[in-house]
Amino acid sequence: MSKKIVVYNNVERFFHYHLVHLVAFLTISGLPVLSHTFDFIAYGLGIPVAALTNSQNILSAGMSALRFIHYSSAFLLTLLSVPFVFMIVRKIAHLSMWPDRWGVQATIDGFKEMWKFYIKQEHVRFGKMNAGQKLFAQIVVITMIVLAISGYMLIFRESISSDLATYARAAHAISFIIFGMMLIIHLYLAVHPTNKNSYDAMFHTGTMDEDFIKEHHGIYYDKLKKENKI
Amino acid sequence: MSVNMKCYDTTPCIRCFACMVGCSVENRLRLQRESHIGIEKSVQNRLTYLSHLSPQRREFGSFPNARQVTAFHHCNHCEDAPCLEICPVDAIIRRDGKEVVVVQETCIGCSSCLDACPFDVPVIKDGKSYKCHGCYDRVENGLKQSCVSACPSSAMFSGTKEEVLKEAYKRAKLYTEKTGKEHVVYGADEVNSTVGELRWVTIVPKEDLEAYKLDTNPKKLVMSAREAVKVVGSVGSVAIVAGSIGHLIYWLGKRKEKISKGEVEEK
Repeated sequence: MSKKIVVYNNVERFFHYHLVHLVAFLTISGLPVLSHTFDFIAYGLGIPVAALTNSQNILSAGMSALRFIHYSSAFLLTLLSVPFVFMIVRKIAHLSMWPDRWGVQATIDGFKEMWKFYIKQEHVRFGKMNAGQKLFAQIVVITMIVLAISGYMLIFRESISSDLATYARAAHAISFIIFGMMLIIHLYLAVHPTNKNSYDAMFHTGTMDEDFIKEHHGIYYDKLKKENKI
Repeated sequence: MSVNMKCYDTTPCIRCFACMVGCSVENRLRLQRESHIGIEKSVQNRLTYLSHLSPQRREFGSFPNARQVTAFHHCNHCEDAPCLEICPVDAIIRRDGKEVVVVQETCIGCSSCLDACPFDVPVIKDGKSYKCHGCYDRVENGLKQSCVSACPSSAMFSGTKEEVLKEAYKRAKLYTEKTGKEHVVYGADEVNSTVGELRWVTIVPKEDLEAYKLDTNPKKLVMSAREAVKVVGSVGSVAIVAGSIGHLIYWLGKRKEKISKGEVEEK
């Protein structure tokens, strides 16, 4: 039987697990502010809230409740991020999101490898993450930092200038839209049959078979071998 | 009901600020009437958020050619009001006379209107947004707006759009002939695509538009960028979902083909 290798530690899995529902809460509660297209969310929540609070306006009641959920989720996510960020900062230079090779040619090669794997279904030697996953992780980290900073600026907007608050509102929306598009790709690939082992490792076991890593994540396998972790 | 319009004529204005006092008094009276707040309470505090018309006195030039102008800061009741568009709870409505009005009972004080307004007009106080409502209650009952009623020099006048523009253009033409300086009616024509026409127009020498802080291109670039990214985001998200479904169908077909050729094992 193949040896089990820990690919996601408990802190990473705990953070990701709770990140899923907190991001879901933040997205659902933020969308009606972004666009009237999502007013139905506020109306849906507004009906029971208005009935309970004896409010005359369903949309306002729903939006106020959504704002409470948005602020609470943001606060919880901030708390949750503390140990994760602490862990990440300690090994910042060795994160999987950094490219194994830098430069334009390396990037092109990375995407060629992805093309072979996802389109041609050929065998490819990836690191722990492929080029797309690395790019995704970098964009998500940047957008989440912008979202957090601009979000807190908006919560405490009375302490900053009106112009700065307007910039924060725009930055919050723009970074969310970029984050949202990345999230759709991430969700699709997370549940894609080819990534079942990664899904199981993140949500259930935290581990992958040594043979699987050797076959599908050859560069990562070599790295683990070099570091005497296998 | 026809479109109601107000006009501020900078030439006969004697800077007595009766319009601003009238506005403040009228809103305090509304507070007493609608919120049942006693007159003592409503006058004990300054309640600056109830003064929807505020003066911004500015000085230009140097002696002996120095002069003073008083720019008015107020809601323009834009034809394409960005505040009304962005309000997530539809608390900003347009009355029959086209006055753009905040419904206090509905407002949740999210400040979206403040961020969207290119004239920085709404004031957020105690979780509610406040701005000029064009005294729609007075107008709908046959009265003039409080600021217009208070003006002793006909520097402010109001009526239907046709009446106001007719008088405004007549005055602008007269001032141009008498002074030799071109006078314009700011806001009568579409100012830009963000706000459209304004329902509060101003007769002003063209060279003094900037002095009176009358922006010829009122726009918040950052909010325009936000709107543009929303469109890109909507199209992009649909494209990503369609692409993902397409990829899954392609991938499953290709895998089936490989399995049938015996190139991969079925799991």
